[in-house]
Amino acid sequence: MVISGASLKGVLLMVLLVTNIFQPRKGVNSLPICPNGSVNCQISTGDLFDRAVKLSHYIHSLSSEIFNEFDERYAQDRGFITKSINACHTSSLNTPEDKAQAQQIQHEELLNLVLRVLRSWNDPLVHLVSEVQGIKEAPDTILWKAVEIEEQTKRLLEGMEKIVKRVQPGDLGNEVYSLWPGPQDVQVADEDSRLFAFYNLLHCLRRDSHKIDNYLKLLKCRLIHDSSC
Amino acid sequence: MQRQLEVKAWPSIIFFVLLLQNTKFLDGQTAPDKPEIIKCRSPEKETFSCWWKPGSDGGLPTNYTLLYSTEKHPEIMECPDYKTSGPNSCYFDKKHTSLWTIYTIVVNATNEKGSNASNPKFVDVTYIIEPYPPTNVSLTVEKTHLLVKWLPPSMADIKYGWLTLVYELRLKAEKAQEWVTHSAGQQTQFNVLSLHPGETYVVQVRCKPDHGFWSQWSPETYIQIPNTFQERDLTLWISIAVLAFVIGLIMIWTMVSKGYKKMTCIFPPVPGPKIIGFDTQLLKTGKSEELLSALGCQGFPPTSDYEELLVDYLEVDDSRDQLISNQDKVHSNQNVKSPHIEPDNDSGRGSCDSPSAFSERHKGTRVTPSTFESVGVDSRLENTAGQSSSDWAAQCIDPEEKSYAWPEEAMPNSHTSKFSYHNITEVCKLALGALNANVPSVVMANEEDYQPKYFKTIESVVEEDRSRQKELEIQSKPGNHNTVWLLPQEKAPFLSAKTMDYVEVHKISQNNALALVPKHNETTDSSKQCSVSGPNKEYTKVARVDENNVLVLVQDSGMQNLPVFQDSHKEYCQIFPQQQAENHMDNFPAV
Repeated sequence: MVISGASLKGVLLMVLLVTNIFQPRKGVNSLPICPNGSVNCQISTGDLFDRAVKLSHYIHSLSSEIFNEFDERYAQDRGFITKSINACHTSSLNTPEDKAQAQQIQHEELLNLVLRVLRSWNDPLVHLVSEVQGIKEAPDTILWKAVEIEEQTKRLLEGMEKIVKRVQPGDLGNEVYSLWPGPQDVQVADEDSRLFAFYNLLHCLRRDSHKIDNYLKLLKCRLIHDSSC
Repeated sequence: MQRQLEVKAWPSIIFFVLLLQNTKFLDGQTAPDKPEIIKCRSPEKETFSCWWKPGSDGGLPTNYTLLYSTEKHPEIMECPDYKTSGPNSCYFDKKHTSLWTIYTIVVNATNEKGSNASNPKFVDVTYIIEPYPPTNVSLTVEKTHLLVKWLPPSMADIKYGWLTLVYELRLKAEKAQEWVTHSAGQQTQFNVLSLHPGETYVVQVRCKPDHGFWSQWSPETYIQIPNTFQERDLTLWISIAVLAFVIGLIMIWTMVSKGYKKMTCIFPPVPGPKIIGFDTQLLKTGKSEELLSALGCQGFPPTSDYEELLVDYLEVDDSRDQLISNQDKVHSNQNVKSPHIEPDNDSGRGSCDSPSAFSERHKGTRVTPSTFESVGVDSRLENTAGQSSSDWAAQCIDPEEKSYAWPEEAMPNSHTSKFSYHNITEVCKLALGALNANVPSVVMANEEDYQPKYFKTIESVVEEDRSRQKELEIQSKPGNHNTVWLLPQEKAPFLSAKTMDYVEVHKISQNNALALVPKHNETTDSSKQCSVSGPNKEYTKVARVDENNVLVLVQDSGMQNLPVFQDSHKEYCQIFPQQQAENHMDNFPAV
């Protein structure tokens, strides 16, 4: 009786063990969810950075795709690119432009720069989504991507604010950077200038999203992996 | 005016140019053709190079200059390095490389005869990143697989996170045509499975930045797979098979060693009976009678409340009923001694106490013993279905409980409106009859060991009954108790009551002495009033008390009076301890 009972437990244990071994490791990729409002909910900063990097990578991929789609469809032979030089509303921000500059800058400052760039895109992205709907024969992919970019950028901004709170508590630059001059006057703008405005916005979006992605990957290696990725 | 002049001048200018070209052709020397910027590329996001394809040099030595401007530095600058990236190229070192800015690049071709500028190229270094292929690709044949390792391109800054690379490798058998491609992610090594032994394989690796272009494939690397190479990764399957075998072995062993246990694991058994004192072995032997006997309301708590109620009734009743009260006292004394029998007594008494309730309960019930048995079985099933023993006891107590109304079922259809206090005695008698009818046949066989004293007395009652039955010419088989007891019930309910009524247990002392009270001699009318004077004529005598607590009774043929009975009782009193005698005497004066 006793022996068989013990063996039964043993069998159960073995079965559990085996199922555990062969269980697909789905949990690795799933992000732990922190309940809202909990103060001491400790997701490691590394995990936060992982999420931010994934988001920024995704956002830039979308931005590249939407820019290329638009460029192929509307901007061919119109010389938009020459006009778009120095036309980004974020170009006044003094961001590092090469690796040396990026390595020299303090990570706090770089984080704040990321925050600034992200915040400066709040209004333009709202405008972008509304503008896409006004474009004639705009494919659904462009519209969908614009909406997705707007949502994911908001998420990224929230995440970055959390990270900044962690890294430099108390000093969260809360100024709102309204770098964007606002949409062009619709009545004045003809179709060409409307298209260019859109093109320029997408062009700047692609650039800034790449900037953010690059900075975040750099920061992640520097802060989390101690510059040995 | 000026415009008119210009318009007029255009044809002459064109003519002049055509003339010039013709003279060039004549001379064989012309200005260089437009060069074309082919490609700009940054291998590591820190530097970049641009290449152009020169047009025709016009037969003269031609200089090529690359001019550029950026967004932040609109002034035109010349290429800092024409040599590093080879002929017709410009290399922008780290100092001259900025990201997220548009380079406007133009290549000028100039010779003696003139110059020609290329179309401007707008370049953002961010989007021209194409790394060098991975280096140091090494192949190692492991036991079950081929391990491919490589290093990232030497110039790429992976460590600081400036550049993020993902890798891809491809391989094929040397003679095969098609490559098999594997994605390695950000890892710098990869295990290749499913290789054929004895074949030579070619492996190449390439890389891609997070946002950018694939590099070239690395140089081909060859590896000969030895013949001893295991074609498939057998260890995994072997381990799985061994594990499954072990598990199967354990399971079989468990099944064999305790198959029943396993079965009960899968199919949970019906919970076993939880009656206190219930012998589960009876279930296995399958003796239904014993089973039923085990159901006889065991563990029933004494109910003093009922006792008091009964006394209240008896106070207003005639003297005959006081005999009954004595009878009940007998039972109460028995309660002290043998709690296992109490339910039976109490059930009967309960019917005495509340005739109305009894009559209600009795509706729709039947009298046959088989019905009783079935009811008993049902009760047992109810109990085994999860009722605790306490619930079970409650069922016995509750007079309203229909499922356990078996004492009444043995009763005749006497629930008509004729009930009165006098009828209480009748009912009590009937109940006792039922008690006697049920208990010996059901409880006695099983409980004899526990309650020998009581049942011996009942046995003596049986003896008495048997003799009475002979008088009534009712068939009986001496020596077979069950038959004796069941027969009257089978005949008729009233008859059963009658046959059992004429001797009553008056008192059983603690020393197993039995006091008997004769009852009235009933003939046909069972509803006849119980009176004190009537039944006293007939009498039964105790012959002796055996050592084994057996009371031997003999029938007294002559009609005896109450004093005789008292005398006989006095004899008992002489035998028994004084205190018990006093207790008995307290009851008797009223008689």
